[in-house]
Amino acid sequence: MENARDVPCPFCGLGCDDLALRADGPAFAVEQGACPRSATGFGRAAPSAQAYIAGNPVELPQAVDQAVTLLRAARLPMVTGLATDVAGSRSALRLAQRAQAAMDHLHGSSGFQGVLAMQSSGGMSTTLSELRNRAQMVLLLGSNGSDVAPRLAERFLDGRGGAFLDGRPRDVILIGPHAPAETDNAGIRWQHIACDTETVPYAIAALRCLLEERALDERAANELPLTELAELAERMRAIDYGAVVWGPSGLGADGDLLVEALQTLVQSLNAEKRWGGLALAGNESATTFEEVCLWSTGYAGRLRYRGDQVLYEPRLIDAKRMLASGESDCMVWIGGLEGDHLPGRPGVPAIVLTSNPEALDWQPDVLIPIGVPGIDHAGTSVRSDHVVSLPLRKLRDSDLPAAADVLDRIIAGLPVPETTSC
Amino acid sequence: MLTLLRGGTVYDPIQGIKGETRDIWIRDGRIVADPGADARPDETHDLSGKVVMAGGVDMHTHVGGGKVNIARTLLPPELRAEAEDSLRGPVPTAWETGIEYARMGYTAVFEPALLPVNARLAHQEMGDIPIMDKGAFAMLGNDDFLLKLLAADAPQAQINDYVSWILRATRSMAIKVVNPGGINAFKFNQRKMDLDETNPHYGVTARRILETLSAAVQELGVPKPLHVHTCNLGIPGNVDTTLATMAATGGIPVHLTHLQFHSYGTEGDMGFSSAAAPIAEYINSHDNISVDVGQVMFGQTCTISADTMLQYAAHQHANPKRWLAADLECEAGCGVVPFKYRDKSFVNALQWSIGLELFLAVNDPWRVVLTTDHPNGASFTSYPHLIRLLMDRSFRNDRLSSLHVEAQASTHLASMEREYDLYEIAIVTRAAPARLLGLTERGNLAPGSAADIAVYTPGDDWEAVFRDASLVFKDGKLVVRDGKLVDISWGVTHWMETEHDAGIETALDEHFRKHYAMSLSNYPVRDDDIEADGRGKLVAHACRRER
Ligand code: SF4
Repeated sequence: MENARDVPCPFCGLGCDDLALRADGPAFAVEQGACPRSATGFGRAAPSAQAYIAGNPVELPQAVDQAVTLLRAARLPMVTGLATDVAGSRSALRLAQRAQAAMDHLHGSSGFQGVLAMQSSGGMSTTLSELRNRAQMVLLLGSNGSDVAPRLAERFLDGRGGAFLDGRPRDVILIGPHAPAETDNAGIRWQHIACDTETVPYAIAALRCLLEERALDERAANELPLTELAELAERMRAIDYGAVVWGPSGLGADGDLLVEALQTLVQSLNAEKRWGGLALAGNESATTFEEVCLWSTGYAGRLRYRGDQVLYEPRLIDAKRMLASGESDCMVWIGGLEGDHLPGRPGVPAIVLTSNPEALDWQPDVLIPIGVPGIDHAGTSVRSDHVVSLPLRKLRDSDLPAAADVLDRIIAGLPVPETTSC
Repeated sequence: MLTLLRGGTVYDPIQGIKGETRDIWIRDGRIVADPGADARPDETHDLSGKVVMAGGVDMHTHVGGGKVNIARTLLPPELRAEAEDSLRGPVPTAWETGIEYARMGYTAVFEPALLPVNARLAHQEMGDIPIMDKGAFAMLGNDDFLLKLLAADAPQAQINDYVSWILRATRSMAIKVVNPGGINAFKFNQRKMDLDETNPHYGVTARRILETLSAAVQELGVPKPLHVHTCNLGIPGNVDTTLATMAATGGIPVHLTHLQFHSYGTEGDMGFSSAAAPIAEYINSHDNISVDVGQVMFGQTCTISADTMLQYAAHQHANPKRWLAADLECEAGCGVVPFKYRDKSFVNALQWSIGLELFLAVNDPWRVVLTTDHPNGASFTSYPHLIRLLMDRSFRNDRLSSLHVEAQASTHLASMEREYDLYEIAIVTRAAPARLLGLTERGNLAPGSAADIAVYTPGDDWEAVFRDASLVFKDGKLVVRDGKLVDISWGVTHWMETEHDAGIETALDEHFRKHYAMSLSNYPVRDDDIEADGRGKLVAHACRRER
């Protein structure tokens, strides 16, 4: 293990690549660019590569054979977790086709909300650097930023880092229950328009009415922080480039409708000035899986294979629900970048590939420890904005296989379904 | 392994072979000279009566990069099924893309709008396209770094170094410019930019960007001329800008892409007319110009372009009503707008006619490449139909007579007698694009070249002929029989290796620190990003630098 500089970090969708790591026993200390997520991720020692069948230690080939047996017996396996890199996602898709399985990323429900919004309105979007360089104002919803992407404020919201902002601080307005986490940054002027999660959609609708000088329903208006919203609308009209940013998992049950409202707001603001939207997606490599899944199947996730066909059933395919109901009769968990998002024990046979086996508090039918992309093996991960990908590096020698390696061995043991295309 | 393709009628324009009966020998993936009377082939295919060509080369087809995934997201499943001319709809998956191209006898596809910062992922996406060789054109001309250099009057040599660095970092084959300076200007809220207008922040004109980039491409010795999507795409009257663009490089080779969308006048009651004639006339008298057409076909498609400025302007035409535009990471943008071309629409019908007028009025087929700007004008799966329109005048005129009546009256198409022959089809679908790209071992059937070969069974209906190739060989392996996949192979990724002074990285490093959210060292594509899956393979091509 060696010290390393300019290290890409796979632990959230922000995709920082400025980390300096110091080899520290079996793990790394983050000397520069640390945040709680990266400190934990790089600070974890490689676990033992020992595989288990129902709690009994076995060699890897035996574990693979057992996984094959379980998958052959299953009617509708569920491939989930999917916290992996591009290579792992490719292999996961091949496995799902071979096993005629369903697939749902562990953040499938919030990902699906974003996709639904795209399919009803589309949007206008921006990327992290454009936001940093240009946005004079950022509206932030469903997150205070740092809860989802710890270094958002330091790297992207601090106005002093904006190439076209002449060192001026940036206005960041939080709308919703989330208060700013830190307010001592001289490059950010925080403002918090407090309201509960259920009220946020109404606040956005009111904001749009105010911007478009349309009348507001008086009774609805009484329940909203109208003075602050009116003042905000006034300021929004005056700026040249703004951004609307949301934490996709913090938007509530009707998040898709709220994303749609945000996207159409941004679209309409572009009639006069320039605005862009950006979801703080990509944690546990959700955007990585989405990209690979889209070019491989035409869909962003929540699908199942039947013969050669891919069935896209975003409202029906929900890993949690289908495993709980027994509709899916075998779970394949693919991790590597799942951190502490470990699966609970399902009521059906479980095959778990994880980089964090020690944190699992139950014994799966098959447990295969795997490496972390970006620490134990090289790979590619995709940032929240879907545009930039990181060249993840192998930083230490470990005997942990990559998810793709294990999956390819399982695939080799499965029969080719009737009509198949890869 | 020695394979003999016996007695086919060969069309190989690079060698000047024009429908001659010839044997073709393949050894270990390459075409070889006749090994002599004693040679015993391991496999023989009797091709008497068949048409034999090199595998098709599509040099402008949007098959990789984030914008294609956005299009996949925007077009819901039910609309894909509705699309004409294709099993798979206008935005197929990577897998379907390879299969559908192979079925038509194509063996290479080039993504013409690679966002440099997206290169790693775009190459990985294209790596999942089976059968095809692939390559990419890196987009420059709206990136803050180049505009900053131009604003500071940087010497051409420094710009050449940067262009060369980008080709290497993104493993690209050529350079493309889209709405020069305009995509960047849109980020500063400018809504229109013509050739001699300036970007509001950098004070640089589109003309200056074109001059500088076309010179860089030439001086670096990149065979493929600068690939230009010029200003004012789709705007009535843009013919003036297009003619001015062709003249702007002062004789330096330049390639105008999806020319159909740039060949519009403003005559007639509708204020929209064909300007194919003056544009074809200009091309016919200027050897430095090459083009591809970007033919429109009728039906559902999805337009995808880096031209955020004009895609935003077109968003009200979205059908269905959903669209996305994006500012992208100090480099460019993208706009994705679903669209349905209707044969009973005056404008769409005239667009269809303008594309065909260009094909028929440009005399030299070596300088007009067959494209639909997939999926902007139509899906690439409509190529067989397009080929029939070019080869069969009565079919063309029948189709024309079913279009919007006033559009019919606004085109000279009915009186154009030209019909492409098989030799010309071989030029516009393989020989010309391969030669323009600088590929010497693809797009021809000469000994030493890769055995990428398509075999067709001639008939009256040229659409049927070219829809399902009888046999397709990729690097010598039989992959398609009667339009059906019989085996899989994975092509290579072509890129152009140029030379530059590594000193450019000092200026780039400073720029990255100020503008990018990524460090310079993590930007370049690593060979393993393309090759580590065991299927991908990079092939570097030497530039033609003369010093
Ligand atoms: S903010 Fe995210 S990407 Fe950046 S160091 Fe922390 S976990 Fe890694």
